[in-house]
Amino acid sequence: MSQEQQDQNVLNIKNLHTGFLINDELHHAIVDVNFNVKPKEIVCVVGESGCGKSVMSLSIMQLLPKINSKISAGEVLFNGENLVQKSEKEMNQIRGKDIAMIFQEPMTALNPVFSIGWQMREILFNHLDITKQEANHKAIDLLKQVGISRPEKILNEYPHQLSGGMRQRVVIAMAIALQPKLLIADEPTTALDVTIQAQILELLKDIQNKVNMAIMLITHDLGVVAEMADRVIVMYAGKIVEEASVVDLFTQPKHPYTQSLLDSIPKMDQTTDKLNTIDGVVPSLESMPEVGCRFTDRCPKAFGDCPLVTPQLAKVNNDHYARCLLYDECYSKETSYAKEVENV
Amino acid sequence: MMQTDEVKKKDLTQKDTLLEVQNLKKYYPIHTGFFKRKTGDVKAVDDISLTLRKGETFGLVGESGCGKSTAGRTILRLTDATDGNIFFEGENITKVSGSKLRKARQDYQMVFQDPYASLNPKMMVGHLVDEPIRNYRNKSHKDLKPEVQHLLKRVGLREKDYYKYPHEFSGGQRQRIGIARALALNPKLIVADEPVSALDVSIQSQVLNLLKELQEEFDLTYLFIAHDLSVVKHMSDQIGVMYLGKMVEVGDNESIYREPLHPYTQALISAIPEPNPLIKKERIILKGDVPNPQNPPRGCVFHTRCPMAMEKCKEFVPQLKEVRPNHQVACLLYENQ
Repeated sequence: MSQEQQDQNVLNIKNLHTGFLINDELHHAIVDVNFNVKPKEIVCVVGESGCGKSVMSLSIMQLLPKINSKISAGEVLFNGENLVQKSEKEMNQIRGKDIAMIFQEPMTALNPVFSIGWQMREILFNHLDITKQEANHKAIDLLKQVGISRPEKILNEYPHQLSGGMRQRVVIAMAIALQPKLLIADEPTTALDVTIQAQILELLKDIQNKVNMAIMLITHDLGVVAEMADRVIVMYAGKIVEEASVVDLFTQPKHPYTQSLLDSIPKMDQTTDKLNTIDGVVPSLESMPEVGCRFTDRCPKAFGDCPLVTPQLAKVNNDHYARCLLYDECYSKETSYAKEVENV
Repeated sequence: MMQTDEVKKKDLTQKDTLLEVQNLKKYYPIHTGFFKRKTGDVKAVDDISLTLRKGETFGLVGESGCGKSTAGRTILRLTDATDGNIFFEGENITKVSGSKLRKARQDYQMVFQDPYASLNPKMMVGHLVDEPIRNYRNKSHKDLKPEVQHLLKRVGLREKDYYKYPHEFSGGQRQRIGIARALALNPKLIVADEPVSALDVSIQSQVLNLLKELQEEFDLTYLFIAHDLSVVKHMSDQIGVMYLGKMVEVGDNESIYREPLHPYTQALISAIPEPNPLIKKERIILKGDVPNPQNPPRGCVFHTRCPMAMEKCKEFVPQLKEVRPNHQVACLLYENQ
């Protein structure tokens, strides 16, 4: 990748390590994460709970509590600027304006004691120099954009008066208020019903087309991934284990974890008596193996080298990266993805 | 007395029917104003009927707030039905109370949704699992230990897990403890209320497989309540789709998925994101939200969101009608068939 291309990326994450202090010891929840998000692209991050998906999004936003967590290495480059080195004040200018975030639980993302209008104006006042009336007009405009049918009334209502789907629409309206270049959506539809989920996903796609932003969508639902993504990043135990375009990932998954994950969902168009399972659970932060592949214990294809050699994320096909010793490329450091990003 | 009992016993046409629910209703009264006068009802479950055959699974699907959990709880007599009858092995259990109900409860157990909330954090796993048995038989923890350890092994835990506490387990393992608890009394019917919705996909498949294995081994009958249609399809023989307290479609698993008749079922099936990027399916996107159950629409409750709503849908309440063999639907589109 050339420097020029890199500059065009909305987000470059290089060699990111984030850890938590447990009993005065730093345990890494995210290790060696490298990826980038191009403009207008939808990148999905998938993995089970405890894989570090949310920690990664919080690391990008610098929202992790400083007291017990630390970004110990790496860079988060947004438009060429390293967010890790920004002060809290500078970050406040970026959050909401350049990078916006949608959280999983729309009830907890909104403040229950302020009206919707108040909360929407707050965001606008923080970043723009406008009057209350202008802010109200803009808020009504935004609510219309996300498909709320009676925006004037909603402004005076409180979060508990809205349904889950409506709340999520309000949150999306607030997120796109300042036309951010990147939207991080952390499980935006997990708390919603399927018919409402379909509405919200449709809305996100629609808005993305209109305002030209990139979306980083974090989810555990492979159905949502297939629906939305251009490119997919699969995480396991704090590391990226596979990265590919959405079609490649679903048609020819390379990593055994991705393969098992795809096999373990019940399919609508076929009947099977027994579902594929992945035995065991994601190792906890304290019990993360030092060397070797972190998936070894649960991997159906594990062999002798797996607990001994730490695999590298390497190119196994055109624009298809995997971290698994089944592929010779993952043994040597020279071809690893991290190096490739670093060198150019 | 003998006679009334005789009358209560229903002559079942099908011998292998385990549970039959007839016109079950559960209304919650709404009280408003200073004197808290009753001004209306929330019809959480409004006139549903279903039949469970022995060894089969009945899947109950619907969005949140459609009354599927209330239906499950009412069938287990965890709340009292407002109206309707529940027959368990031919016995009417709708009005049974006291020691009789206690005795009957051995035969039907429940697996709850949230494995984090349904286990007492202060109790050892062994004691959690033997609690239901001790409730019915006068035995000590020590007496029951071998039995409990066997049970723990059967649900995929280890014998030494007997001494652990719930917080030491992951979500999937906790759900296994919940299942062991439900199995402890050798029940005939298990109502599983969203047993996997709090779990990851890889763990979800483990629990689903376990439930299927146990069903075969112990000849269990399940009432499987879930919002995830692909999971319900995987588990069930029969499926009932609920919307706003009403059963809108009931039928065989295959029949419902191959040819959903009710517009709501069609929308529900089309809304499931397909885990295949090459399939671009024609999606039916429903407008709006589920209406407020305190004030449901007149006529067909679905007409406010229905893409095929007609003028008469606002007036008439459709009744469940058998349109195909073993496939009933409540929709005016099929009125003339």
